[in-house]
Amino acid sequence: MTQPTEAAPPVKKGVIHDIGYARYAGERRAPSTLWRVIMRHQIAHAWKTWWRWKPAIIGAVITTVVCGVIMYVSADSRISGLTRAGGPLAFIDGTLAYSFGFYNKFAFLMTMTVGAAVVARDQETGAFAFYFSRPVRARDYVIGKVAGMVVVMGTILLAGPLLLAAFRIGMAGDTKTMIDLLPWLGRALTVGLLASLAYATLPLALSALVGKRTISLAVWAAYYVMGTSLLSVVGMLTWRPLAAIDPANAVVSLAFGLWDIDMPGRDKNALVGVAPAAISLAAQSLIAVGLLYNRVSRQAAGAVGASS
Amino acid sequence: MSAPIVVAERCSKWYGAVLGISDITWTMGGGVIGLLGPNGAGKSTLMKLMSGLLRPSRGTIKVHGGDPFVDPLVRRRIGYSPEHETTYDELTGRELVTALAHLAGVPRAQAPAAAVAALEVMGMQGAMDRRVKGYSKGMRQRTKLAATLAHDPDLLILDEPLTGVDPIARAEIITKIRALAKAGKTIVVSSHVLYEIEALTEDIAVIYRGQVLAEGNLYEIRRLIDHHPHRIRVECDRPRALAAALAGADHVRRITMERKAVVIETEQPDRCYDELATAMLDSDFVLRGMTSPDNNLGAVFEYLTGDRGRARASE
Repeated sequence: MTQPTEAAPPVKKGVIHDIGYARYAGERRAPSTLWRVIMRHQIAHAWKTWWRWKPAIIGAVITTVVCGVIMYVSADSRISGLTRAGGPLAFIDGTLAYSFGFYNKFAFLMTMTVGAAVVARDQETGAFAFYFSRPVRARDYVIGKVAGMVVVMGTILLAGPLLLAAFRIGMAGDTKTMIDLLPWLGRALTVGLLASLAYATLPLALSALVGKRTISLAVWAAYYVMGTSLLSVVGMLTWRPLAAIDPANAVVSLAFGLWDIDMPGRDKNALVGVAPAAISLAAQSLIAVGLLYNRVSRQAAGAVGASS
Repeated sequence: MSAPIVVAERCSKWYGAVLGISDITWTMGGGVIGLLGPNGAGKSTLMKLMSGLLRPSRGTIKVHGGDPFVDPLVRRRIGYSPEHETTYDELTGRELVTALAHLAGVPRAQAPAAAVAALEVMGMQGAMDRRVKGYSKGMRQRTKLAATLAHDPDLLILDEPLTGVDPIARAEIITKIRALAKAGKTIVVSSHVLYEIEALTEDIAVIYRGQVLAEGNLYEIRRLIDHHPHRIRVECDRPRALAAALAGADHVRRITMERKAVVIETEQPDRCYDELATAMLDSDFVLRGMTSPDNNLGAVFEYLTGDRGRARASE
């Protein structure tokens, strides 16, 4: 018969505190929807401080209000009766097309405070490591950033013109005129969307190519202010559609072309046709998205992050 | 035995002409695994390969049976904390962790709660509404760990999580990491500071020049290096007499006297321990303490990455 053995003293084990970690058991987003997360973050990031988005928004609001006032005042018979070289001065109809010149300036301001630094900043700070170690793919990143920037740019280049177009339609004296003016919404939408796309994608692509925030900003500013102006001049002297490479010129040309307006003070020689302007904006945007995707996917597959 | 979490087969990674990882075949199970190696050894590269941030130049690496580079669903089960700490510094800790949890697939409605829970686990509840740019190094590390944890990954890959943090924060982070391992996470931690890894785990992989030089339990590895002299420090009432008793043994290579102790360098530690015990009992020595200075990562690491270690490893 075996004797009952004495119980061995318990082995003292190391103590690890229970920190109450609770596993997350909820649902998960599909990876294909993560671009929306990036888009929202992009918008939130732009809105975060007073100097990124808000000055441009204020400028766009002032432009819209001033243009609206001009349109309203221009409806007065004493103004609408003014003529120049035998033709009516169509302030009420020309103000909207004219306003794109101002919206362009605030859009450029936005590219300097947000757009031209976005991807370079992510590269510099190693944020790619945070993105791509999660279920985010290069295309989600690109779509998210582009969509976010288009929304941001849309508040400058799309919202104001749409409001002005709606205001003009609202000022129509009768239903027939109102119906005749409805295409204005489509025109404002077309110009605004193409402009938003170009102003969103071009600086993003440049930012991805350069990879350094300050250099990226400097290169974009130099290109926008001097490079495109130079191209415009070369275009005027040689082959006019070349001037459509200047996004500001392309946007204004598209607007004036779609509304078919002749405004005082506007040099018609500086404008390109509707087709070259639209094609230029669309093509530049497509090329920019392609470059952006190429650069980001290479970064995502290469040495990601700021550390070795 | 549970299925391996990470399986690398003949995995290599080059950065142009620079070698990151060279022909690694390595299997990793659960628990806490310390990746040890000097700067530039390839630890970060191996971790990025595991995280899906890099594609192997040659060979394969699988995590949970899938390719982390290709499959976003595999990456969803991974929490990677990079070595660098610059992020979106203008955000608060809460906003940053929420955004990263959201990016990892936690729905918008649940992400804030998941972020707060992770920050609380890391002891950041008091500072999570301050901007990250005002954080100390230790707070940034904790925030990064919270971001790694918020989406509840199964595998945590922590690249140098203790770099630059003060001793108190280091001790706290070590406690948290160990607690997470206890909660069922598999954790890979890298460091070139030996005692940090030693405080975290006994399971190590020594990376050197892009290769896994040794892997397994720290003490098992130590035993494998049987030709490496093993030092035993014995504190007793008559150290000189004890030294004399062991001086004739063929496995003893050197004996060094200290003020109240004798340090014996032996090639056969097990035999030496037996003979020490016999000598103690036969001659009534009063034993005050016995330690093995070599049973720490520093000695293993030094030996493995030294010329003798490399020669031994290539045998």
